Amino acid sequence: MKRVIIGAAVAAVLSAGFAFAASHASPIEQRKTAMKSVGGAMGALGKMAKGEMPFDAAVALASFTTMNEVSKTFGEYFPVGSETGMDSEGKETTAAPKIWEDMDGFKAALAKFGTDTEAAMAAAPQSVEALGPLLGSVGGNCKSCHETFRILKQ
Amino acid sequence: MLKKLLATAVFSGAVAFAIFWYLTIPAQLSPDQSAGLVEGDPVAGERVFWIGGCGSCHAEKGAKGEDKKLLGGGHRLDTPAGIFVTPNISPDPDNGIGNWTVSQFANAMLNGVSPAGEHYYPAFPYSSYTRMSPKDISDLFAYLKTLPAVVKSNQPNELALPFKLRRGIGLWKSVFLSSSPATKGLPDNEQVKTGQYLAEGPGHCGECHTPRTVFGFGGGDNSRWLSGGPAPEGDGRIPNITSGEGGVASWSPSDLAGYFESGFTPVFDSVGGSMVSVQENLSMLPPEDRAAIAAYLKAVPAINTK
Repeated sequence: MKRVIIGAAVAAVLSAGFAFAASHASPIEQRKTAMKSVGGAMGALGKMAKGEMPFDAAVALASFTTMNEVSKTFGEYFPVGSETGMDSEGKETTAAPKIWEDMDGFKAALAKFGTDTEAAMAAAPQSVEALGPLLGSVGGNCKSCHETFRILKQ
Repeated sequence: MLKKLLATAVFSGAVAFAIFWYLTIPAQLSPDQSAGLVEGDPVAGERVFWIGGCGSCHAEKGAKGEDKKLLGGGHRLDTPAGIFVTPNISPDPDNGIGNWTVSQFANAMLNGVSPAGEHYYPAFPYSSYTRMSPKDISDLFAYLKTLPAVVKSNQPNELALPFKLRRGIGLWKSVFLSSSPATKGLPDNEQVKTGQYLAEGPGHCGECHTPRTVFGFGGGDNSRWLSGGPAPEGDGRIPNITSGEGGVASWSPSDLAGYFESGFTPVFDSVGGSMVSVQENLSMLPPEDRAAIAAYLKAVPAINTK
């Protein structure tokens, strides 16, 4: 029970932070915050899968839920005019021009991320063994999207 | 008087051309290079195939899994010199390497010279492959022969004028092509040595991760080895992978090896861009090879880029 509460608290903090940042910031900041929350969720899942953190079903579910929420809104943070620019730390955006050249392809990649995270939420893994394959299918989205739509500019 | 001047000009021009022609004669395999060639082992050659990353350029762009073994070429590389279209290196006898001998293959890999005796453009990373062992070349050749033949004709490159003069590559090679190691004075340790061979030779990490001299058209600048720079193909930049500032100082050897295997960084960001295809090749290697490359990267001189 204690674990469930901690898990729920983690999820609440993650999504609250995300919602707060999303409502106040520039598109580049919104993108960055959203991806950081995905990275945090991926980190929790990855550490559990690798045995660096004890498995917790609530944290797993919360992590997939965080990613799923990002998949629904992430496409809105790329308005025309946000192709270049820096974040608050002075780092140039890593969004690739390909996003605007192929917005349909980009949205399709996000939709797939949404489908895969939804399937993982529905599966609600109760063990590390069950988590592994779900993490593989969800994690594959990071790479396939970054292969085409992210670029290092500085 | 005018006649004499003209005669002198023609004569000097002819001499200059003769010197140019002589300096740019495509190399033949040296006795040293051919001595080590053996009947290759295709099973051992698969490891060379994955570290060499042949499929990242010679298979269709974005090919995954088994499709990376279909080496029909046609992948367009958009570079400052123009567009290079990679050739078919599948065992197809008409378009690929089906009729090649192991010596012809070795001359391509080590000297960048085609069976027809022409220079290859250094977009084909022979300036790294030239450090490969004859055994690995032989094994790789044997492995490539086991892959499916792809019937697909080769398309011409689309290059800007000065780069169309293929013979000029001979001059480039005389300055930049060397089989000596790119880094010196590394710790005397077997794992680092293995990593150095894999990374500087077949793995050709320096082709993208090392900035080039002569406005990007020269060879890799060994004094800034692996410190990153503008992407040689497409847009964007390639990161510094030394342990200097702006590099991977905070990564442990197991972080690096884990990244090569899974594609995730220590903070669970993922691999991106052209490195995705490279990482997927590296994930096919035995774990000790990934650990060796990681140990090598931690041993190379740290270059600050920030």
